[in-house]
Amino acid sequence: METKGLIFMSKAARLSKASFLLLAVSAMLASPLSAREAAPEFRKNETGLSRDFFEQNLFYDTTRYLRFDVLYRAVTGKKLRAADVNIYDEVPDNMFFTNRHGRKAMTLEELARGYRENEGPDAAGNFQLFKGRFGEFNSRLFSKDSRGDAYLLKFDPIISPELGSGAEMIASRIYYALGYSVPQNTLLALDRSQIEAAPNARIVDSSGFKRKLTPEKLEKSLLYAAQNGEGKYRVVASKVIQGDLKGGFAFQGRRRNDPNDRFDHETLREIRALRVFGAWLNHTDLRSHNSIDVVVEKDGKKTLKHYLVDMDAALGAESHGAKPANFGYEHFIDYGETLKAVFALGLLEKPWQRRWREADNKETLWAAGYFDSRYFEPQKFKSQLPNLAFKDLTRADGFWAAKLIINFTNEQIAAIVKTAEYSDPKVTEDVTRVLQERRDIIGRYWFTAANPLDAFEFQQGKLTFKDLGVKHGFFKAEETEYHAEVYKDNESKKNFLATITSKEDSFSVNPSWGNNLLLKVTTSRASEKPGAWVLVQIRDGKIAGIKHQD
Amino acid sequence: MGKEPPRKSQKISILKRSLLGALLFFSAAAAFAQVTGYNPYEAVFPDSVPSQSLKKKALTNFLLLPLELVRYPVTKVLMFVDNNRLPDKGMWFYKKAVENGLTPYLDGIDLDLMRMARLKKRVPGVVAQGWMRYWSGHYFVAGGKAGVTSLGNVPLRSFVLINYQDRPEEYFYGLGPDSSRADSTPYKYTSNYIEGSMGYGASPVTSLDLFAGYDKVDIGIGGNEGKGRIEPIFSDRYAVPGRNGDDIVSAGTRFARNTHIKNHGSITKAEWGFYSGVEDSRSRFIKLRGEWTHFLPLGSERRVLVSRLHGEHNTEIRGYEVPFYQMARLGGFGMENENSETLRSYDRGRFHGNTAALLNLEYRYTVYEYRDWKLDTVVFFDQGQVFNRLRKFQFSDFKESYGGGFNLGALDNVVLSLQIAHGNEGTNFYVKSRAPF
Repeated sequence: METKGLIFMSKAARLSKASFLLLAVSAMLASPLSAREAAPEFRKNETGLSRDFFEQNLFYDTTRYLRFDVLYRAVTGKKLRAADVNIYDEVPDNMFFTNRHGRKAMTLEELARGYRENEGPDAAGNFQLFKGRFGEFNSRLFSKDSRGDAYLLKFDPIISPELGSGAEMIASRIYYALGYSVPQNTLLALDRSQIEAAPNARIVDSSGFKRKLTPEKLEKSLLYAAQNGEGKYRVVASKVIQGDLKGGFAFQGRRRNDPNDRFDHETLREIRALRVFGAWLNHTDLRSHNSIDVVVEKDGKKTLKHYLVDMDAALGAESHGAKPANFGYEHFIDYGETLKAVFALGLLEKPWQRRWREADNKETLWAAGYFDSRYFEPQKFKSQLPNLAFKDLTRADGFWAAKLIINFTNEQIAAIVKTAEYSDPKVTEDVTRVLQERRDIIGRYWFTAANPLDAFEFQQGKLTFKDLGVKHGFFKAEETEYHAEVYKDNESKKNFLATITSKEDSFSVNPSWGNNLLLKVTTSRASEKPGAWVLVQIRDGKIAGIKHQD
Repeated sequence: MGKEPPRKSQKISILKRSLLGALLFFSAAAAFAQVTGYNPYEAVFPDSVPSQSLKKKALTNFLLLPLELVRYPVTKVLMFVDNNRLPDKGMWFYKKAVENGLTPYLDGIDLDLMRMARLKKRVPGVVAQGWMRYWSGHYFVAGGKAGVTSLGNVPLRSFVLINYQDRPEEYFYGLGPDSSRADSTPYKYTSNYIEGSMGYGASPVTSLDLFAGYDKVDIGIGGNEGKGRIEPIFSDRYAVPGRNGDDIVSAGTRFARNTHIKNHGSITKAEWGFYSGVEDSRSRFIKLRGEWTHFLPLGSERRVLVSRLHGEHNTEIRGYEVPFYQMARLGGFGMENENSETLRSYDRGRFHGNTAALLNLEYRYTVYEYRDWKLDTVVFFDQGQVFNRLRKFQFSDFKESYGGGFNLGALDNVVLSLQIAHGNEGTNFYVKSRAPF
């Protein structure tokens, strides 16, 4: 009886399970596809330094040629065009990037303000620390201001006052103006009495263990934090991103259940271009762990918005103080550079070693760290951890990034640097100057590597454009000549029509060639051979496509 | 089965949306028309967007897929490490241990008894240390040292040292430069050593000490179940001195000067000692030993040429002999507790003789730096020989080793050394936790 009962129960259970499965499948099939996509479950992408290092520096960097597509491109020299550029060779707004300063010049006030969610923390009130980390080098404490808003307070270490906070203020404003999502960062000078431990606050100290944040512990921990001349603690209050946080975004691959994550991240222009922006800002710490994905709703569907966070390792700063001399020149473990050095028997002085020797082995300015433009070669910039997206950067991507960078005028850069509120005006002046110099070096490099023609218009049989190389003074207009191979652009084939040359930044198009044309435009400077091309497609007398050579 | 026609309310809604959409589109288009006649930021993509299908990815990543099986668990472990801040905790434990007088090593531990007893600050001139090293089948070393580093303000120092060594598988190959590797004979070496010393630290880098010691050495049957015991192998050629061990007392003086900092300076060591066996022992000899290591930077802090000269001479008192385990020895990597000087392509203790002359030349250059870490490449040339009588010295008896490798260092201390050395008797690989000099 007992056995029979068991069998009966087992059958019942199986039936019940089968019915449930059937119901679930029916429900899935019955529900419209959009409804299923509307509520995807995003798993948290946990990141950390060890994981980033292992994946990027050890695993993917050593095995990348096992990927047939990467191997093929390495052998043939072919470039992989960015997947998310539109027909005009631009990046439309997406969950990684929103065209801001590049689309419409932001005012000095807007640039200095950066991203804002509210009017900022209550700088006069108290901050209650409730969790976080106190360390010798970087102390980051989650706190609530008097209004109850949560902020991550980032203290400068005592050995390098103003260094990290200055870098964070400047870099976050620049990244925001470029188009990335960043947290709201506000610079504060807090009196000791404004910093207090919340009841039951627990923090991690340099031992790695969580401990109760007692007043004594707080007092002791603050000994590691830098104070300004008035004895106040200089902190960046980074507004905690609200919502359902899903860890960092990967620089490689994508989340397939995110409806807006259509392309592998290494193929996104705005991700690849971070190498150029990183070069400008000397931001070597671009990696998954310094990013955050948050669930947002767009067009009624849940999707992920991607943020860049923690920019206190930009400019001359690094999490442990001033940036070591080889940062920006070599990866954390740089197989190529190390092998080169092995075979050179120690007789080769690397560029960063020469730069460091010439700098007398010391930083330029204490609050700016090691940040200058001597021997700066933007194409050779390396992030701390290697990254397939950065390796796939093409000329077209570089040009796009340089175009955005060159948009920042001297005055605008100065306005942004002022937000760092360096106590020494010389630091403000130097950081501004170096950013301007690096901007120009980047512009010159990419406007030479790519064809820097932009803002194409076609009106009344005339194709006009702007030569950004000439506009920004890198090349002389009188030494520049533009050439265009004109093709009749049929659906199936392209028929060559003529070659036209112009000394002006425009071409007159013969009306007899028709309304559908393809122009392959090249530029030559000072009797040099023409460089990279840009294709301009005209359909029905209108610009229908622009493509810079990759 | 066609589509159901929209209801009236739906029709109005659609109309409203269309109108609103059209209005937005035209106003946006009008705004951009002023500039370019088209919206360059419009989300219109070319037809030829490369495929990013799973199928394509699986094909292109085909070779990588098996390795993904490794990556996945490793990343899980690393996330556990990161989330639980294990490196910080590990470092904290290590620092705490050292602060409390306990320094762990891969093969043992050092104890600072004064720190452990919380007396370090109160009596800074007193030393009480202990150590232990163990590597299965190779060695067990344990000992201690106690004494004072100064007497009041006078830099006079005095120590008592006790050291026990058990080396279950040492090798003896015969005496002199012409010994054969084929004669390798294992033996077990046990030593109980006690020493008293007194010295004067003329400066922080220079010291002169007088010492007196007693060493009880037992030579037993080595590994390999005693196969190839010393006695039968060499009995037809010569009697190996000290093959049964001995009790030896010694007295002498040691001089040391160390000005080595990073890639600069030099280390000089000199020792003179009188050694004598007790009771009916046949051991009695004088030992002279000298060593000079010089670090010469070559135009950069990243390049250094290290030259090391080592010489040892043991003279037996008439009618007595020098036991083989007290002779000069060459071969191997040559670390401090190995009892054999650096001749890297040869096995440790490969050459025994009354006298040894050795030259080590090593070019070190830095190929990688990261904060306090650096990786040096080393290229070396070792040349040395042993001989029993000065008149038997011949230049042709010098044995060479050459090779290279890498030293990984932290805070100017080598923590890992990988080296390969080649010579007449083949090639040796080394993985060590420090450099030989």
